[in-house]
Amino acid sequence: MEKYWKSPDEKEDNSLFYHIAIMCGLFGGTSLVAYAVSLKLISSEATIMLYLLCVFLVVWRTGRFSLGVITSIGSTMVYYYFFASPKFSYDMTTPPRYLLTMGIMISVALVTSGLISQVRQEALIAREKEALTEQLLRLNNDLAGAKSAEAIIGIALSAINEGVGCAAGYVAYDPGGKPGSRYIFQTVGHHTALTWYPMEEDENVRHRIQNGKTIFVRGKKYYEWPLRGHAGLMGAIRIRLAEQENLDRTQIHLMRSIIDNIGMALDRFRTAELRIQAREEATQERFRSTLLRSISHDIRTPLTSISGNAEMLMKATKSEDYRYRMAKNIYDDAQNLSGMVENVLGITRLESGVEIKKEVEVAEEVIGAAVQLTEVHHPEYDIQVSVPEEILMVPMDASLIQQAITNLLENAIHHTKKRDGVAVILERKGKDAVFTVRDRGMGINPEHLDRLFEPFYQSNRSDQVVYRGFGLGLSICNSIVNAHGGRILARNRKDASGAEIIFTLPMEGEQ
Amino acid sequence: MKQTKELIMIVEDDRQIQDFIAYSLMTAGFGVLTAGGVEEAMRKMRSKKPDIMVLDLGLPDGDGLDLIRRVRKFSDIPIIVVSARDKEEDKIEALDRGAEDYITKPFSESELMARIRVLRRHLIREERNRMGAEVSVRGLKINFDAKEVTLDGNLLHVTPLEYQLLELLFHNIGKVITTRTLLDELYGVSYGDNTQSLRALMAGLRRKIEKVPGKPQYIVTEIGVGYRLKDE
Repeated sequence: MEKYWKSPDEKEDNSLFYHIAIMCGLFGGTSLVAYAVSLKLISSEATIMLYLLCVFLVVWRTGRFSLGVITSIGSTMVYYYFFASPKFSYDMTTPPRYLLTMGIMISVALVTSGLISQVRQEALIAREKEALTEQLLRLNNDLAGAKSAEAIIGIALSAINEGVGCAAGYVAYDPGGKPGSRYIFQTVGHHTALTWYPMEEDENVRHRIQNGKTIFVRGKKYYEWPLRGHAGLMGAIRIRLAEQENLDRTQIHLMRSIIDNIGMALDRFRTAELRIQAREEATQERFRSTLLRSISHDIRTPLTSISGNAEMLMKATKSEDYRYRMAKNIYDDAQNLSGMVENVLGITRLESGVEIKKEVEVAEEVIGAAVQLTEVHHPEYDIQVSVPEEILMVPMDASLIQQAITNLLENAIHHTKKRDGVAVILERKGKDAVFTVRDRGMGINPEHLDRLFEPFYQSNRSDQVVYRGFGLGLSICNSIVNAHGGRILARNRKDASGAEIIFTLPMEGEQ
Repeated sequence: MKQTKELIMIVEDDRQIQDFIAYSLMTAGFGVLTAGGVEEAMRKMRSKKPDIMVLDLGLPDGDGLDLIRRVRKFSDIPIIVVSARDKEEDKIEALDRGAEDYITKPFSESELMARIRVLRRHLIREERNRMGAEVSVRGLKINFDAKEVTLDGNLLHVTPLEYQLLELLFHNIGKVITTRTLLDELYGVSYGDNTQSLRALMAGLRRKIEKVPGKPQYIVTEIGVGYRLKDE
């Protein structure tokens, strides 16, 4: 694997010996130039300026204040001995002049060295930053090319190993936020190989990470650097305690950058995975609806022939013949089954999220159609219908509401023996059309009132007996009414024994 | 039961249903002809010239709707379409293409026979070349010449549009009429979608003729398809 982390280039020779050589060279050069200048010009001020320049150059090249001071002292001595009058001797009568010149030169050396060191420091930082950026960019490129979460972790751990210089490991967290049962850690003495270790039982890492306010959390054996994504904690990078404690500020900074990048890469990866999962689920859902539809169709055809043939048998036998009753049972069950098929289809349609097609309908018309359909199957009943004088126009999917009312009527008939014991009432209450289906049966056990609209497969075994007959019927009524933005409730009648189921539909829809 | 009753062709690929329909019809004294697909039905249409067709829309070798279109080019044979409950569009399409009526799966023998009887009566009326000046059904009587409607002998005050609606229903007594057809006849094709006006018109008419408008005895609603004036 490519090496990620290199310290900035250090080609320059920074040894003291080299710097002294520079100093001597510059000082010698300056003295030669000063000598050449002094042959032509009398001005000693120009010469002192040359030595000042020399001090400046020495500090600038070497960056050492000490060499600047030496150069200053040397320059002063040479200048006053060779160039200033009296030549070849020191004028000891005016000592402050030497000191003043030397002081100025040392000040120049001081200021220059200060500036130089500042500039060098900044240049160094800039180079380090540049290198860091470039390295992170490379890390990012590699992460973007990673084909799996494992690859991302592999790249990340090598990057930490090479960049920060310590071995690292990783603990994955499941979407529920629980740490996995094992973690990986770089194999000792081999920074690209990884080994699995069992997760320590006694350490509740998640708890620590959730409560830890700092960027990393101290465990018993490892420090953990949490990786956070959109959905929360995804995992943690582990560093050995001893190694973590030896990290300097730059290394911690680097760790942080790497952790951020891994976090982002892992998050991207997880988001993509979730999208793929969602797409697969949608495909499955479509498949499920198609399957249910074709099954429903394939059930309808044999049901037609079963109930039809049973009906023919009924016609061919006398009603007191036991064979008539057998045929009648077949016929009735086929009818029930076909009702079930319609409900399963209806639920599938509603649950597949298909937008229902609402049109403004006359509410009593839909009731009339449902009553008519129910009485065809139960000619022995005379369903009572009451509608207001006012014509109620309600936005709805008429065939769904007809199905809902038919289900409620079937349910009521199931619980009532009386010929005229079932009634449908339509009323207007404010902006709602209120439909009530009543029976004169035993009523509903109050304990079950709340759960009546749950599909039967959600109730437990003992309840199934209680709900037998309700089955899917009430559940689909609930779905249909909800899809229309209405409300549904069941209660026992106050005026007589029996139950009533009431649902409302808003009269001012999105029409 | 005389053997001179009509010859009915059953176009249905499911053998069990074919048998059941055939048996019901034969018991009622009709002649029966069966076809398992579009092409067989077309052949038998030409060679045997049946009087009524019972057609399942889902056929193995083609679309039932397509069969209606092809048959209508040379024959006025009344067609009853057999269709699933949640396929309203197919029913309307079939009726618009010229089918007389439809029946929803799973259907009972009595429902099927009622539909056949209606078509048969219409056939007989057509042979006599027109309906009488008066037609009545369970106390509701219409007089086409006088343009009057009476209920149990009492003259009903109906608006011209209500009368037109009743007249259409009486002309097609027992058969379903699609909402589209009613709209075209009452409001004109160019009038656009007037479904709500038609619904309100129907509700008003029901308040005049039905004892319980929420449980109509005369004009029943076929949800998603249209209306039917019950004749039995």
